[in-house]
Amino acid sequence: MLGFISLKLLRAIATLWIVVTFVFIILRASGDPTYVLLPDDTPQYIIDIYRERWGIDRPIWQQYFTYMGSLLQGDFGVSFFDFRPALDLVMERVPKTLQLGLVAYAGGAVIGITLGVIAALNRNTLIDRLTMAVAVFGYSMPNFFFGLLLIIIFSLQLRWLPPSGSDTWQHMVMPAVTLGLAAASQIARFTRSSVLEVLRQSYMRTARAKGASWPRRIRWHALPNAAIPTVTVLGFQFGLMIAGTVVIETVFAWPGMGRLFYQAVNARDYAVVQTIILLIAVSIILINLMVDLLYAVLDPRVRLTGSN
Amino acid sequence: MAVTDQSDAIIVKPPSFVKRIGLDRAWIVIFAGVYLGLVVLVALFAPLLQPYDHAAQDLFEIRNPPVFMGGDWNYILGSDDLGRDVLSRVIYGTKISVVIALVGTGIGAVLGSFLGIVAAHFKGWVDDVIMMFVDAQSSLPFLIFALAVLAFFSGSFIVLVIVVGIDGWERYARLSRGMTLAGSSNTYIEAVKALGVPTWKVYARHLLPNILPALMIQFTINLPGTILLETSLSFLGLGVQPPMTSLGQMLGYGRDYLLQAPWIAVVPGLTIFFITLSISILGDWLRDHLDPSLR
Repeated sequence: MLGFISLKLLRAIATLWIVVTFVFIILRASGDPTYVLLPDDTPQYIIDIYRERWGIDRPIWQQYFTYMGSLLQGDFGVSFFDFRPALDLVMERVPKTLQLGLVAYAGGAVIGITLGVIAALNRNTLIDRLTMAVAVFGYSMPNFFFGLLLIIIFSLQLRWLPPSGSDTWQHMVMPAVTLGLAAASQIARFTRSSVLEVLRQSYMRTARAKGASWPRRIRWHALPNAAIPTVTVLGFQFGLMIAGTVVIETVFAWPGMGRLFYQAVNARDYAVVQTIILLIAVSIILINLMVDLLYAVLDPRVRLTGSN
Repeated sequence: MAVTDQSDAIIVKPPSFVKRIGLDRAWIVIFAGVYLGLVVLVALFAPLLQPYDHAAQDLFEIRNPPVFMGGDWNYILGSDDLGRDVLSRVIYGTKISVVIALVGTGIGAVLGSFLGIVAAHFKGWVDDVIMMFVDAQSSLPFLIFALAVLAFFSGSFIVLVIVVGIDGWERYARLSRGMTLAGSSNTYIEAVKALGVPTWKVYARHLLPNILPALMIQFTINLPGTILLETSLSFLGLGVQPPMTSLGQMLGYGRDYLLQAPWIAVVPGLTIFFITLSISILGDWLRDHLDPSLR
């Protein structure tokens, strides 16, 4: 078990290093940021001062080592615009995103799993068809369009909910529903098919043959086995959810990390962009690690042989 | 395989009621197919079908409502804030979105499948390195990466197509690697190798045809995602740049007129939604028919 975890950790660190390096190269390869930051008629000597001030005048490999060195010391750089540490800027926004993301993610997971199990147990009935129809609708719907539709209906026509901001719980309803819809749909579909898969297994018939009651068969034989693939899709949804927050926070003017990312990207604020990407990569890698560990908890085969 | 006995834990009711209210699959699949056919036709013949030029402005005809909201037939789907015909723009935007999605998914499919086969063929460190990149790719939501790249390479169409293309390569790589590894151990592959057939020919003539169906299914699974990626990027203003337009970009533009002229956003939005919906429905149907165990 310990070897299993340390191997996963090593891989995680290697992955993180690739992400950081790749993003660094891409951002620096896109050209000199001073041309975007300064007006066209800026005198050359001011540009030079700027470039020296931000260390952009040095060769790229030198910049890379400086960057990696300061990263390892916990220094994420300074924003081009606020001149404040990028990490502080990002951390200020994280609570708002967590607030929105957790509500949407938890809601999406609970609703998705419940509907998926119900649909599978009522296979080919009206309940199943309706659930799956809603699920197909949910994951085909572009989140930005769904958000706009909600704004048109509930803010502009009915005037029930505020279209932007984050002050009260009413502000959270539309962004959370928009963000949770896609997750719930995917999770419902996936849960349904993994429950169906399990119901087909021969051990389900064995359980029935030995006289186990229907609730017992479902609770102790079907659901634990169906949980393993469902955990995978839960981990996978987390990443999609983070990508979703960038769009949703922009649509609903929710002052979270996603909106900050969008603003920083448009302003070419290196340090902030890199910090957010790093933070996202770390959280996704952590989630994946947790999914792997959960596998080991749920599936004794993984626990005993140390691989899946 | 004991696939016949599915009823041991659940009672399967006959879907007669479902059929009666018309929730049966068949006509939905036909509808999806027809809609997609229409989209392809529109994409192919866009310039012939546009009543107006997509960028032509007429400042005397701004925000005309569409026909179904009491407008006149000159602007069937209304006009936008610069007096541009929404129908013409949707036709042109559909073309651009479809082209980017198809070319993009194609790039991802070829690149990913190739790298997957390479990884499976060479094994060892080549495999390790490629799989490390696959891991890295999956640890960052692609939209985040795409936004950063596009913003920093401000608005190049080629970069957009390449970025959209990179999306999903890791899924093809994983799939083709796994299938190549499994396929290579088949006796007929060993037989062909023993006969002295060159390696490239073994892959091109014997292995590829066997993994192609799975890759095609992956293609239909990825396609809606690719369309959503391009439309999201364009919606956020970092994808297709004016005067060119795409469905996502129209939606982003229409966002500012939701109160006065909601059709500017709703028409392209519905177009995108029905495209992704149709592909999902057809993809599901295809999978059900290719995988009889799910029936």
